[in-house]
Amino acid sequence: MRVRPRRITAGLYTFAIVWGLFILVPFAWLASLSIKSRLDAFADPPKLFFTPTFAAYGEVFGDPAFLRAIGNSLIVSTGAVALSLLIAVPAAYALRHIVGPLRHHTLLGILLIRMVPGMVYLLPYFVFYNKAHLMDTHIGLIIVHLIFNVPLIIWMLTPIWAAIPHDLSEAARIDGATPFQTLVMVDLPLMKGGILAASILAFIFSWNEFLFALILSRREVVTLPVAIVNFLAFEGTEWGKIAAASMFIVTPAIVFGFLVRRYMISGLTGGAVKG
Amino acid sequence: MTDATAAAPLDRALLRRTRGRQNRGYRRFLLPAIVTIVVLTIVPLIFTLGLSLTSLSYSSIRGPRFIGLENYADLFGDARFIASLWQSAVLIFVPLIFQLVFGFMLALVMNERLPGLGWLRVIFIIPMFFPPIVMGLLWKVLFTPQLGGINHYLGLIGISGPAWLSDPTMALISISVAAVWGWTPFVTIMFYTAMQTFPSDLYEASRIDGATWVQRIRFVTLPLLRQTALVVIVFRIMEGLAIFPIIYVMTSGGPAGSTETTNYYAYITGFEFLKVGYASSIILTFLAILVAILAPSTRLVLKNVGERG
Amino acid sequence: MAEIRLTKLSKTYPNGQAAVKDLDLSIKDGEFLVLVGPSGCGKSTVLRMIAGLEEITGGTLHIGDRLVNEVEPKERDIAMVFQSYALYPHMTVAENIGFPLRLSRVAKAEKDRRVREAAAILELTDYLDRRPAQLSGGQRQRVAMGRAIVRQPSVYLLDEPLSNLDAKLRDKTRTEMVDLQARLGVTTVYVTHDQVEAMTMGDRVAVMKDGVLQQCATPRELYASPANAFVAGFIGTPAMNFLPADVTAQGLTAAGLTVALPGELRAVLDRQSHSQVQLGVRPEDVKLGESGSPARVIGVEELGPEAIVRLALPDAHARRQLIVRVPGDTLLTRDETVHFNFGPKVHVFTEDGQRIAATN
Repeated sequence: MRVRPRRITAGLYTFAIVWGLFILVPFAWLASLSIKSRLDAFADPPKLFFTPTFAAYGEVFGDPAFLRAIGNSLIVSTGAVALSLLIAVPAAYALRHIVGPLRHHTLLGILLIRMVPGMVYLLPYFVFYNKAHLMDTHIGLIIVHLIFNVPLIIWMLTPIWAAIPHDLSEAARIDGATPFQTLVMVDLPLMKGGILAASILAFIFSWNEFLFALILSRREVVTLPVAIVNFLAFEGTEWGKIAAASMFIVTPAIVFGFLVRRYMISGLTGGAVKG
Repeated sequence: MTDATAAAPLDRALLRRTRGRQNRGYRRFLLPAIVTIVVLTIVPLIFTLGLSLTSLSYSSIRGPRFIGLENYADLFGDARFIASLWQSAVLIFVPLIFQLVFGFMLALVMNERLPGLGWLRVIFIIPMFFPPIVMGLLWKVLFTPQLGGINHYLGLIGISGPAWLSDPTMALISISVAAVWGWTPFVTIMFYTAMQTFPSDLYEASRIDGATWVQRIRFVTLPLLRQTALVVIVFRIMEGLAIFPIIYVMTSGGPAGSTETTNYYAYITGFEFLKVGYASSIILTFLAILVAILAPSTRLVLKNVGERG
Repeated sequence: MAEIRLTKLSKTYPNGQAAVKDLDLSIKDGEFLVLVGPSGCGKSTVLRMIAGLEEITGGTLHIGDRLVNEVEPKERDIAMVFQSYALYPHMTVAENIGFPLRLSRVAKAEKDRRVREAAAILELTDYLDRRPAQLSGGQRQRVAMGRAIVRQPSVYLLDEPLSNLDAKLRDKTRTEMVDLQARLGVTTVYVTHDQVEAMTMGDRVAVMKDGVLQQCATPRELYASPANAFVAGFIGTPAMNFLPADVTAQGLTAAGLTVALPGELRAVLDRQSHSQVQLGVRPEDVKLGESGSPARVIGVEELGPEAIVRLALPDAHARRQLIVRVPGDTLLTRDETVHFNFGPKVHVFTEDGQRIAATN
């Protein structure tokens, strides 16, 4: 239907292909590095064809520090998501029904808070955690993750919740359900998909988080992004190992990310753009 | 309970009460979230403000003293701070320009539904899910001589590759490349989503009016994207320094401090020099500058927030 | 069972807009009352206030002997059917119907028995395990009804429950609902914008406009003695014809015709010293024949047993049209000239639409 000069069509195709390469080649390079031997990794000119070796993966998974980091990342991310859901899901439910300035100000407030650079919050947490013995604890990290995950989940769920007809909650009210019963018996079963998507996205953000983990962990609760930086610091030339660890961190984030990509906008921008 | 009288004339107090009743059953569901957010963000923010007025330093044997605005006064004479502001501006705005241009083009490609480009929709989004730290490692690898091979391939087409990470200017460019790689997808998604809401009859009308494809983009698409672009710009400026992990692994702020952004400087000051009071004043000043720049447009951008849904 | 009493009931929205103004209405025990009016007239708001979904901002509402202004919906002993049916999509038909019982902790055996009973009444027994998405529109409507009757409430509130059905099914369901209500004898408030539904279903019909009750009466009374020109025009299809008329010594003069006035009507008009009034004539009260005023036929709509004829009055009467109901075997055709007369019944309204009286 669209009439487009041939020249421009060619231009668009070219751009698309160049961009595709720009995205994929670096990723592929990292992937290939993770299965190259050390010798091949530093070969000059770079070797496009080589004998793959999974030695780096073996080393990574043989490293107790890395295994602990996997455990820590799982604990912190899962804990952060669970706690965030507990706080954010009822809030999103409330915002489905609350009218007037309270709703508006709450949504705006949590959006602004999310936009503030993390470094602003970090200094007081550093001081406070040192005093309160929360430094280098799982719960300490989980708590700071609430700062970004609670707003994220509220923002993601609000538009999805709006799609559930108001009549349903009114019918439930007539049928004798309290707001809490309505939430549990009517809304939650209908929001399953949305809540799952929000959980996944929140999990990815927790899984990827670096700054808070860098400062608020020491030895015990080092998460994967920090563990990988430690590889860099202590084993500066072990690029195969670093690449393998990177692939391990990235893969679940990408796989799960694809599942929830259509929900991303409202979560990231709080619906400042109509989606 | 008293019998209400005849229809009251418009009574503000009554209306507030009415709305209050409507919200009554639901407020307590909101309460935990509000308490959480206030305790976890507003309180620390005020605490940071307090810290910035003290000399708190874990590297000093002297206890913290209240020193008023002394930290802020010191900032004016701190060349490293001034430089970090400039470098922050470069590392926010240079990538932003390219993110906007490429993000728009990519959205356009997707919106045109060109045959054979379905795969683009799937892969363009990949960087969004990358942990920023891995993004930094990825580009560090690519820009490291031998390991990355970039200079080898540049050499094949007759270009002598620069010292990507060890030359001050090139280091800024290298980090910008990583930032464009990482955050263009966000811009694309925003533009593409907005484009899909444009009424198609607008395009059809412009075609009947005899507009060429380029004119259509110029006079229909771009003006309609203005609001979206503003939102994107506000978000990208505000979150522009989320490239911290990238700087951390690629250059650690170097060489010679040439890629040290203000939040990186605050990090060094606070967590390496352990001068927490001074670091607080650095990051708060930076936040104040951001807010001052963005406040007028934020009002505009966010006026519809909460109205939908 | 219960009577519902609305006294000076009002609703003002937070933006200052008044949706319902000083509504006085009593609904008798076991009565089927229809609230009707054009969209935005406040009829749904009234229903929702009775249900307890909408805060009452003025006046009182009694159900039975209880003042229920501040009572939660579940304590009001009511059930409601929504226009959208509001079926819970994730529950089966049985679970949907049984939901109110589950919430009030009715024992399982008792609950199952009552659900089956309700399902039998509504012919839903074969569908109890289906989900709403697997049902037809009519079946969904019946599930919504089932959820209402299973509670055995003392009041049913129905908000345009038939408007999502196609025309044929709507007619059938209409009679079924009237029968069901008569059988169960439960006080019912039914909201609709369709005056045919209102007339055919209601024991009494309350007509609303702009938040104000215009008239509440039996369908017959509403048709025979409308309280004002709005009700007169709203009830009846095709709508009543309105003509400006002069009060003269001979009677009323309109469209070149003079309608003689009975003595008492004459007296009323003289007492109120009107010189100009509105004459309202139902389409069946315009008689076509040899004598009377001339008019040109500009359209004939054949409906089978009857036909609707549109007449253009002579130019002197500012291009007014007159709608006439005639037997279906009419031989009238377009552009033919006919003569018409009014009578026997005409309605007289003041210029601003208040009822004065009717002949006959």
